[in-house]
Amino acid sequence: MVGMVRRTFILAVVLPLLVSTAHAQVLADYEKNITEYTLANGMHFIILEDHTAPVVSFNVQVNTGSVDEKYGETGMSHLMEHLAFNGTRRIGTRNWQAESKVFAELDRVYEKMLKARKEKQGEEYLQKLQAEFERLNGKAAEYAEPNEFGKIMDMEGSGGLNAYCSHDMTVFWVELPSNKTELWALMESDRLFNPVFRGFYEELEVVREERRMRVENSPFGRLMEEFNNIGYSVHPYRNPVIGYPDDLEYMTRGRVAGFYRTHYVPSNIVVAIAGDIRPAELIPLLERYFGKARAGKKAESSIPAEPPMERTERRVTVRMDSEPIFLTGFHVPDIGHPDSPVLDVCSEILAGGRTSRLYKRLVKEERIALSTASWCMTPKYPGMFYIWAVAASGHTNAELESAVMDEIEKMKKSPVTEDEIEGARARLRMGFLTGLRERRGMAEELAWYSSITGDWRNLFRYTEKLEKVTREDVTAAMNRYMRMEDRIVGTVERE
Amino acid sequence: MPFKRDMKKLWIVIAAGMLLGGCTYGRVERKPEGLRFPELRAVEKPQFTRERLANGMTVFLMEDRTLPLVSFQALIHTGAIYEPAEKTGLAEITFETLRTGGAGSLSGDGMDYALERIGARISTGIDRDIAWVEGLSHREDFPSVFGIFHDILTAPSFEQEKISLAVIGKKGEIRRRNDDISGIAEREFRRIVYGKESPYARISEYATIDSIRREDLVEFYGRFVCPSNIILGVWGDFDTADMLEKVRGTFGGWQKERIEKPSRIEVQFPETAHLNMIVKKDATQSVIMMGHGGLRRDHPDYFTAVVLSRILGAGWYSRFSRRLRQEKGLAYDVWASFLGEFDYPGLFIASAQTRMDRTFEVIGLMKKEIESVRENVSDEELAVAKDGILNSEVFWSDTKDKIIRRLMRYEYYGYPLDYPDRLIEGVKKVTGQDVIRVANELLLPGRLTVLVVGSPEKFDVPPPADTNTIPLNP
Repeated sequence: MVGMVRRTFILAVVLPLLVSTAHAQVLADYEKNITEYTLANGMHFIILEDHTAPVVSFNVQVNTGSVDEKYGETGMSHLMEHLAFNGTRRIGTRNWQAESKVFAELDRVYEKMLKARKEKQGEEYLQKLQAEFERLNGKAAEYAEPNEFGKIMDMEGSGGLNAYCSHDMTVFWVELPSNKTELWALMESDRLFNPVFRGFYEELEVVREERRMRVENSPFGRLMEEFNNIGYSVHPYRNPVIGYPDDLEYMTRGRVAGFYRTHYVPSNIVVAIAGDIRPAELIPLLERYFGKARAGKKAESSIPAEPPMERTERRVTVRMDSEPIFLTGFHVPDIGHPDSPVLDVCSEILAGGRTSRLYKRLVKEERIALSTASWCMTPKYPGMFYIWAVAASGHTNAELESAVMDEIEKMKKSPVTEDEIEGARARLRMGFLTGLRERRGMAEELAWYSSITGDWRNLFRYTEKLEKVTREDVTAAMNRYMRMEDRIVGTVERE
Repeated sequence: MPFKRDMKKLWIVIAAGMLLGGCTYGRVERKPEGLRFPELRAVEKPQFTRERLANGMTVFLMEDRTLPLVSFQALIHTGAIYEPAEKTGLAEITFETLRTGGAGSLSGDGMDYALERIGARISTGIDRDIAWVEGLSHREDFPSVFGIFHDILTAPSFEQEKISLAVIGKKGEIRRRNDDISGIAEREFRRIVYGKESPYARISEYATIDSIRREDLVEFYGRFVCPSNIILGVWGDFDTADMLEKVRGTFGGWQKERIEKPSRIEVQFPETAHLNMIVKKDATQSVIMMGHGGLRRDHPDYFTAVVLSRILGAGWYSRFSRRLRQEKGLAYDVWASFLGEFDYPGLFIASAQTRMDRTFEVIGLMKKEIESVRENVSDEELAVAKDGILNSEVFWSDTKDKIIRRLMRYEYYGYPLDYPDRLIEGVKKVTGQDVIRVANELLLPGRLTVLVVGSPEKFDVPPPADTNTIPLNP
């Protein structure tokens, strides 16, 4: 998954269903079943015992993402995420010593090629380098065992193995039968701390294909990329996680290795493990496999703060062979801000379900839209409140915009009803409860809250705050953040 | 994400994975060396109750006391294949409006409010050969929500206003269905291989939607929705005896004779052109799909086809993934698999998305892999495929939700409830020779239908003269 932070609102609320004191109870239950452990090198583990089935979900969150990329290297953290699957000195190779020598030669030739291209050196020279590059790359391939990491996980019964990168985080997850816990510890520690960036040049091509699929050939993908690009003027949330094509051109194994060394340090990694495991048996394995990693200094990225948008409406239109799509957005704060839960309730009232204001008006009554949606993204840094609408045949983005803005104005002028607040809370609560059933989702949420806010308990505390949101809070937040004069609008229009 | 997978397709392939225990293959060296795994503790087979009500409704109940939630689902013997061709879209509109158009004493809007106000959910859906109404509520709200669920099944109102809303939605879908290049490929490939008139591939058009009237919905509902065409499942936080009473009390009095139990519609795969092309003018990546008719899950070689799919194109170690993605970097999304349907022959599909100027190179490589797996399969490939299926079986039963939903599917399609055990036993017995035999019988390079969606002027070679170009109508 490339793109946004997955701070789902699925797990956004924990509160008791009927009695408000039950919240403390839910947290207390989890306190009993959760063990935290930090290695001497700073790597942190959250272990959730759940013995209902002999399986375990592992969720590794490296606290780095596209926000940590420097100018000219967008896409680096995502490429690194891909390369983590390509093996280590012991996994994925037939002969690491010989292979590593070829890598060194190959990379030198590639860097010469980049230089030659940049300096527009003669075609003949470039062709010579290209031939040499291909010869060496072919030689490197002879030592590789393609996909050995995935092969081992598949063979040992993984119920899912994948990863994604967001603006804030790089996340690796896998589910295994619980008797394969040691296998996970061995494989995961090896890939996190001994990657060799094998298959580098092929993986760059794979990422380019991924970009074509997700961005270039997807109306929605292109809209999101262009929207974020104008939505932020300096903050790196403006850059696509998958990277710009020009930046991908200048990626080298050396640059990725440099990025890796400064970000994949133990103290920058949180792992949540949920399932059929006993901490007393697990912790020695964690010590043995992850404890070896040397402590490193967490890289400090210098991330410019987004200046406030004062009376600067911004617009972008993507033209392609597609029906119209409308998107608008407003700047909102980060996850730690007290308005963050209030904005989640706003989002639910505006576009959560068939009784929401936008659905009722745009879809049911005026019938100008086929669907509406909103998402209040409050990640590590100040985020964005997105609202989408998809026009019904014969209707335009302009009509959608006018109706959406009108509904926002209404929510700013008069208080929402108590009934709307209650309904929003009930839906968020049920969403949370159903989320508790998902081992994988729980592991992801616990690791995310721990990584970003410093404590997994904030997942539960966040939901407690949601229960306390009042009508006045909603009106105030709508007025504070949804200022028409600084809206951001993005549309897809047919060429 | 380094490995994108269409979960639905993978699911069908992994459909295999089902019984405990692993296998070991002495010939294959395991990595990482020296690691020994303890025996996996046995999965507890959860208790469930299966009852037939006097009115013919089949009921499955399963307790799950971990959270204060109750889930429910009714599977209904019907499907879009039973709608009249000239009203294609009727089945979907009927099932959408079943939920949105009000029922019993509630209007459609009233029902939305009643459910959303308490965070409960009820939704409906219909596929080619199955339909469902399902939902979820808090334990405390279950009586009222189950009452609404009952009314939806037994006394839907089909409000005209919500029918017209559904019609707008369907027309909007038609209008937008060519925006996304993958969507075009999936839809059109199916239409080519099954035939565009086939009930298993046909699609709505403005005219078929415009011909739909409220009485058509009432008739379609009336033909199929009756107790003896329904399998009802309820699972969650309850006591089985109490719940059985509750279900009897709610549905026991519903008397409606079965008018029609749908019967299977046979598939005849038509002759097709070898190479088909659809032009998507602004695309920078082509979508390639190739394949032909496949098999049902009750085919005696289905187990072997599942293993074959893993070797060829499903999973990290498949030939498609290694050769096209890992070794050559030609695609991010690439796979090949037999898609086994329960009640009609599914398709064998191989698919890749690649840059325009490598399109025909990739087509050639895909064909080469399909041909080569008919000639040889290594011990290692066989072991990785079989172990992967057998070792991951536990994920078929790691939640009660998965277990009861699966049982209900088997019941619905008339498969034995222990089908997973049979599948696992079948997979265990598969040999390399079996895989090669089945590859030769079921993979037919001479009959491959290829579809490319892209911009032909950017292809690596010009499309051959006999290419069948398919116009892209809205």
